[in-house]
Amino acid sequence: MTEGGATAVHAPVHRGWWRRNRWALLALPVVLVVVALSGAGRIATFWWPLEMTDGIETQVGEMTRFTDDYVDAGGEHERTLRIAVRDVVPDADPVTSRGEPVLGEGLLPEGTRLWQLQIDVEADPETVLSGCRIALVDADGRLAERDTTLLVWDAGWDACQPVDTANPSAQLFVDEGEHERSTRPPAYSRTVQLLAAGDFEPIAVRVWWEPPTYLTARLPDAGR
Amino acid sequence: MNRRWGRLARAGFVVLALVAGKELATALPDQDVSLRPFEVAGELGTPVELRTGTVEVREVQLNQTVITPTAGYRTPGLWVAVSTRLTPAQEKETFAYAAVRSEDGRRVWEGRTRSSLSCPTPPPGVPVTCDLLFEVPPEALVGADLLVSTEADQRHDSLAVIDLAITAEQVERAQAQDEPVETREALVGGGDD
Repeated sequence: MTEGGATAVHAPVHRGWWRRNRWALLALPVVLVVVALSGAGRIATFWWPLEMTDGIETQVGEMTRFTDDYVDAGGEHERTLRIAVRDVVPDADPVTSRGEPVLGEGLLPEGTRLWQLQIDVEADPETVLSGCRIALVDADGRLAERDTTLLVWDAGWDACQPVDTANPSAQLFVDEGEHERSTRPPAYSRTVQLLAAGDFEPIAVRVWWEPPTYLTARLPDAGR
Repeated sequence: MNRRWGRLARAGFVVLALVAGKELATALPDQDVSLRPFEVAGELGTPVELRTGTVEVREVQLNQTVITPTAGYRTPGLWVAVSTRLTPAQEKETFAYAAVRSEDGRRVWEGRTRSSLSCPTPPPGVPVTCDLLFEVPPEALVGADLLVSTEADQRHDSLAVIDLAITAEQVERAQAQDEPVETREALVGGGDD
C-alpha cells in the first residue's frame, strides 16, 4: 500500500488510462465471476435436476448399486438399493401383479406386443421404493414406458415392490404420525409387464424414480 | 471552432443512440411473438408431423346433441366431434391441448369435456384414436381449424393446425338435424384402418 502511494506521488500527472483504472480493471474479472455464479442458480432450478443426466450403465442380469436422492416433507433423503433386471422376453402371457395368469382373447391392443421382465431388488425394508418407472429403450432412443392404464387386467400400479407387503411411503406432511412398519423383505423379485409397438426392438431397459438419476441395463444381444 | 464541432458531434451521437435504441426496441419481437408455437398446417385426412408425434384428423361431425359413452349433452351452438389419431414418436404421449380456432384466428374454443383428458397414453409407434369434443357457436365454424398438441405448454414447440374443411351447408344441415351424434370410446392400436 505505502509503496503504491509512494509511486503515485512521484508519477507524472498524466498517467495512462490503464494505470488510472487499474483497481477497477483488477476487480473486473472478479465481478464477472461473481455475476456468472449468481446467475448459475438458474441452471440448477431450470435444467440440471429435470434432465436425465446421471446414468448408471449395467448389463441385464447384473446386480448393480443404485443411489438416488429425493425430497419429501421430511427433508432430503438418499435412496440406495441393489437392483438387477433379468429375463427380458417378448410375447409374454399376461399375468396379474400377483402372478396369476389372465385368460381371455383380445387383451392387447392391435399392433402391440407384451414384454415381460424380472427385477431383483435388495434394499433396506424402510427405503422408499414406490413410484418407480420402467421403460424399454430402442436403438433410436425411443422409450416404451410401462403404463398400466393400457393393460386391462390388474398389473399393479407399483412396478418395483411386492404387492402383498406393507411398503414404506414418502412423507407427505411435516407432522405425520407413525407409519405402519414395513413388512417388505430385504430381497425380493418382481415380474413386470409392459406394452410396446409390435416392431419395437429394445436394446436396453431403463429404471428410474425421478431425474436426473437412471439405470440402463443393456440387453446381451444388443451389440448392433 | 473545433470545440463546437466536438460538442455537436456528441449531441448527434446521443440522438443517434436514442433513435437506434427506439428502433431496436420496436423491431425486436415481443414475448407473444417470440414464444409462440411453431404452427404446422395440415388438412383433414392427412398426417401432420409434430415434434412429439404424428396427428391425423379422420372425421368431423357436427350436431346440436352429442351422446358420449357416459352422458348426453345439448347445446344452443354446435358440438364438433373430431375423430383424431395420434401416434407418439419418442415417448408415450397423449392429447394435452386441443382447441377449435375460427378462420380469422381470433377466437379459440378449448375442449370442454373430459373426452380429451381421458384419451389413453400409448407408447411410441402405437396409435390412439379419440373423439375430441368442442362446443362452438355455429357462425364461427366455417373454415375453422383444429389446434392439437401433446404438450400443455406449447411455447417454442410444434402445434398442429388442421383445416377441418367445414362448409356453410354442413353447419346449416347440422342445425336442422335431430339425430344426435354418438362419440366412440378411445381406440388404442389398430394400424391402418
